[in-house]
Order: sequence, then C-alpha cells, then structure tokens
Amino acid sequence: MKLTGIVFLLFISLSGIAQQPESLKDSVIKKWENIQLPEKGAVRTILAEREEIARYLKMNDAPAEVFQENGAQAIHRIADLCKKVGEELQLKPSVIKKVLKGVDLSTKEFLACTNLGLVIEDYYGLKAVAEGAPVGEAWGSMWFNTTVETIGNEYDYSRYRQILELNNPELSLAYLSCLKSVFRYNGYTKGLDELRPLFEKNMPEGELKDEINKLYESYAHLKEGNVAPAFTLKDFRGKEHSLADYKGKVLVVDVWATWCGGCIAKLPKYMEMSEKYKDRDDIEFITISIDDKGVYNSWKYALPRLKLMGMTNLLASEGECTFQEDYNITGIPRYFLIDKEGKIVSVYAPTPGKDFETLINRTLKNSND
Amino acid sequence: MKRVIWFVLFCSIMIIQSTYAQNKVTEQQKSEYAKGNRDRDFLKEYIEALKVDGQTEILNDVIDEYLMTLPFNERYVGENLSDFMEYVTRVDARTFIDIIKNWEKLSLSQEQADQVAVKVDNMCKMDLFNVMMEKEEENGKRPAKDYTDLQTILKKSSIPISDMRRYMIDMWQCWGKNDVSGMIQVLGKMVGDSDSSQEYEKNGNSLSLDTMFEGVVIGNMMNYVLEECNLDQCSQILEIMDHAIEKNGRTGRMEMFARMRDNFEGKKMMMEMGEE
Repeated sequence: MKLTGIVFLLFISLSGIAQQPESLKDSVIKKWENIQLPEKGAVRTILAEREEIARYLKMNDAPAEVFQENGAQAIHRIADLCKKVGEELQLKPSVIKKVLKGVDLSTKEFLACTNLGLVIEDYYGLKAVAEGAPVGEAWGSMWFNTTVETIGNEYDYSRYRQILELNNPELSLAYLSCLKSVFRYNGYTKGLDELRPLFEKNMPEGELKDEINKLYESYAHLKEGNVAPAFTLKDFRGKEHSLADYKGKVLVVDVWATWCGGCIAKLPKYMEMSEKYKDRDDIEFITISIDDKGVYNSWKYALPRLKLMGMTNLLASEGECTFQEDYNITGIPRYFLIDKEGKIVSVYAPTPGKDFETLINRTLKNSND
Repeated sequence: MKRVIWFVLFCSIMIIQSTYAQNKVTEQQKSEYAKGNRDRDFLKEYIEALKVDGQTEILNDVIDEYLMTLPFNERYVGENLSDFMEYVTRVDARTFIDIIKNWEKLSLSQEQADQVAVKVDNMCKMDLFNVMMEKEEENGKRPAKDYTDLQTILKKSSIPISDMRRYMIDMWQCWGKNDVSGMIQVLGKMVGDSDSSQEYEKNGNSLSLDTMFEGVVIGNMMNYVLEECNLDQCSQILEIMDHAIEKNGRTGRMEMFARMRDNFEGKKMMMEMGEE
C-alpha cells in the first residue's frame, strides 16, 4: 500500500499534473531566461523554443494564460534582437507574422502576461516592421522624449489607435494610462487630436477616461494652429518684450532655468542652431527663464557665462506673470515654435537638433509660401 | 464600607485638585512677574508652573531672570544648566551673554562644555537666520539687527563656537555699515579657513540643515556684495574663491561658495561688456 502511494505521488510530480498554472508560468519564464541564442539562426532558435515549450504546455494541459506568456516571451526575445541588430536582421514579414500568431491582445488571458506594457510595445513594434516600418521608428519615440525627442512618431499613435480598435476595455485600461504622459511631455499633438473620436467611443467609462478627457481640455489651447498665449516679459535691462513684438517673424523659444542642469547642457546646441539662422531677419531665437524672482541675480549673471548675451533673454518668474500657467510649464527644458502670425506650431518642439531644424525650416517655408 | 470608599474617592479628588492647582500658572503669578517680582523662590515656583502648563516661550525670559538671581557658582549646575539648555533660546538673554563672557570661569565637564558651545553656536546661527527671514519679508536691503555687543564679547571669549559663526557675525556687521570691502575681507577668511569652508563631519543631516540655514544668511549677504561690488572688488572675490576652490574642491560648503563665484564671474563679464 505504502509503495503504491509513493509511486502515485512520483507519477503526479513527474507528469506535471500537480503543477499549478502559476508555477507552470514561472517555469516558462525561467526557461526563456535561460535560453542562449546562437549568433547565427537566433530567430530560428526562438521559434523552435516557442514550439517546444508550447508542446510541453499542451501535454500538461496548461491554461491559455500560460500559452499567452510563452508567445509574449518569444515576441520579446525577437523584438530585443530586432532592436539590437536593426535592419541587418532582415526579418521577413512572414516570420514576424508567425511570431505574433497565437498572441491575442483581445483576450483576458493576454492581460496576465508579465511586463504587459513592454509586450504590447514589442507586439506593435514587430507588427509595424512586418508592415514595412524602419526598425528605428517602429517602436515609436515617445518614451525617450525628455532626453532625445519631444515628439512621438506615427507609430506611437498607431499603437494607441490599434489598442482602442481592439475594444478590449481591460487592455485599454491597462495600457492607455500612458496617454497622461503623452500630454505631459508632448502637449496636445496632432496625433492625440486625431485619436480623440476613437478614444471617446471605445475607451471604457471611468476615472482614467475622465482624467485623460480633462487633459484634452486643459491642453486644448496649446494645440497646433491656435493663437499662442500672449506674454509681456522683461529682459535684464528691464525692457519689456511682448509676443506681439515678434509678429511677422518665426519665433523660437527655449524655456529654461538656472537650476536645470539638463536645460544648461542643451543651451550650446540651441545657440548652435540659432547661429545657422543668424543672417535671416524672418526668424528670432529667444530664451525665457522660469527662475524665481529671488534668484534674479543668478539668472542675470548666468547670461554672459552661458554666452546668451547675443539674444533676447526674458524672465517669467512664478507669481510675477501667468506665462508658466498659460503654457502648462510642468517640466523644462521646453521649446516653442511660433509662426509669423503668432500661432502655435509646437510648444513641445523637439530638443535642438535635426528634427527641430526640420520643423523650423518647414515653418519658414510655409510662412513664405 | 460604602462610606470608606466614598471617603477615599473624595480625598483622592482633593489631592489631585490641590496638586493641579499648585502647579498651574495663576493670574497672580503672571501679574507679580509683570510688576517686576524677581524673588528667587517666587521665580522658581513660577517656572515649575510654566513647565506644567508647557508655556515654553515665556520660560526663556523667566528662567533667564531666575538664573541671574543665583550666585555664579550655582547658575549653571544640575537642573539650572538643564533649564538653560532646554528653554533659553534667545541671543538677547542675559544668561546667553553671561555664559560667553564667563566661559573660563564655568565649572563644566568636557561633555557639558561641548554641549553648551554647540547650543551657543546654534543660537547664533538661528538668530541670524530668523532676522534674515524677517528682513526678507520686509523686503529690506540692510540687516535689521545690530550684533555689535555679541561680536565684541565673542572676540574676548574663548568659547569654542565655530569659526564660521564668528565670520558670519563679522560679515553681518560689515553689511550693516555697507562696508563691501570689509565683507570681502571676511569672505577671504571664511573660505580660506579649511574648517569653515568644509562640511561638518558629524552626520549627513546636520550638514544639510546647517548648510541650508547658513546658505540663506550668507547667500543674502553675498547677494548684497554682488550688487554693490565694483570691478576690482569683483576680481578680488573671484581670486579668493578660485584659490579656495582649488584648495578644497567643490565639496561641502565650498559648493555653496562655488555657485556664488559663478555669479561674480557673470557680473565681471557683464561689467567688462559695459552692461553694468
């Protein structure tokens, strides 16, 4: 009798029947962590591993949630490889489709995947590559905007759109809270504007929807094409400068403060950019500091040290004017581009560099046409 | 049996009531103190009542008066020293001046002496800070308080308060006289002395708090120098600060001075551009 009991227990533990879904899921994750990819044929290895694990799961009658995890892990590994190797990986759309197959974002089980946000981004990143997007752009550019970019690309908005189109309320709630950061770092972009009808229609009612709708309202006045909020600020000589004074010129603004290390680090790039347009009389580069009135001297004497004396530098201290509220200044540096009519091109323009210059050139061209 | 219980209860209430009444500050005590009663026994009772009531603000004055009624050899021993340490907080207290003046004559253990010196140092620091904050509120340019007496007795006393505190008071006094050159001279000592320019080594918390309080006071004084100095003085300050930064690096308090240095550099550049 005793022997029969031991054999029975041994059978159960070996067959895996005794394993709970959670431990099965853990073992899948562990398995993926331990997979060593060869330099050549890494994609093939990933696909083969996925198949092998799936077979094992089937044998153990694993719940759908664990199959989703297995698929998500494979997607994550392929995406990593793709981002690391880039275009040279030459992933065929048919291979990508094979990787994405079986992972169903419209299911409840998918929501249980570990690192859900990353899996979603990897899923749509790979999907975009399969549809012909360059690897460097397919994952969007929203999330690095504070250091690299300040505008996302179409793939970011495409991801939000596709998630809303799936009409899976739980998925929308799990992922789309990121729209709050999109507003915070990018303002009311064209992409957010185009997304709004679908957001209204498919976003489940509740706290998150209300919160994002409030952002839509509070950022609406900073939409592209709106008249930029007026300001009148003083330079260090006490002379007043108004936004209206720049009418007829494209205005580029760097919003900064003496305490902001990131802003100061980017000032030379901003100056470098302004140098390129120094011979044009249809564009003006200025800086606006949000330093407190109490550190007026620190701001004033930072101007020559930071080699800013060649341009107009204004101070917009809190409590002295409504500039910071009017432009929703919740973080700096911020860059504005205002057209000759005083209308907003972007008050969340990219960091000084190629993208910003492209935007400036386009604005200059549009204004002169 | 019932009667006994009621009797015990009655007695307890009476005892509690009388004890409570004994310790609580009475209107008579307040009025007598206001009229100038400085009788030692009366003051002692008044102090005990104030302690029970938790009226610590008034205690500063009453303890100060009480201690000064005592002979010097009794003034700062036992509970009297504890009361001074705990309740005397104002630099205009007679005992505060008394301790600095008679530092050599005090019979304190090394530990007590260290604690008293730290307290005196902190009282000076906080007084400068508080006056500075009041000044900020009034938006005045000049300091509202004259520390001549304190400066004089500190110079004569061997009380081991920090050099930084002494320099701060010296600079403050120069400020009161609009003496920019004098302030620059003090600055030279302040940043030139490695103990003063470096951070406290006790612990991280006291460093940040000390730096914060000092930063407000020194920052305001240096802002005045920044606004008032001429090109020569500006160059002199830069020389002093560059030398100190080279010697001590940009750590501890030097980081605070180094940031101020940047403003002087900017001002010098502006003056050279003819913008000032």
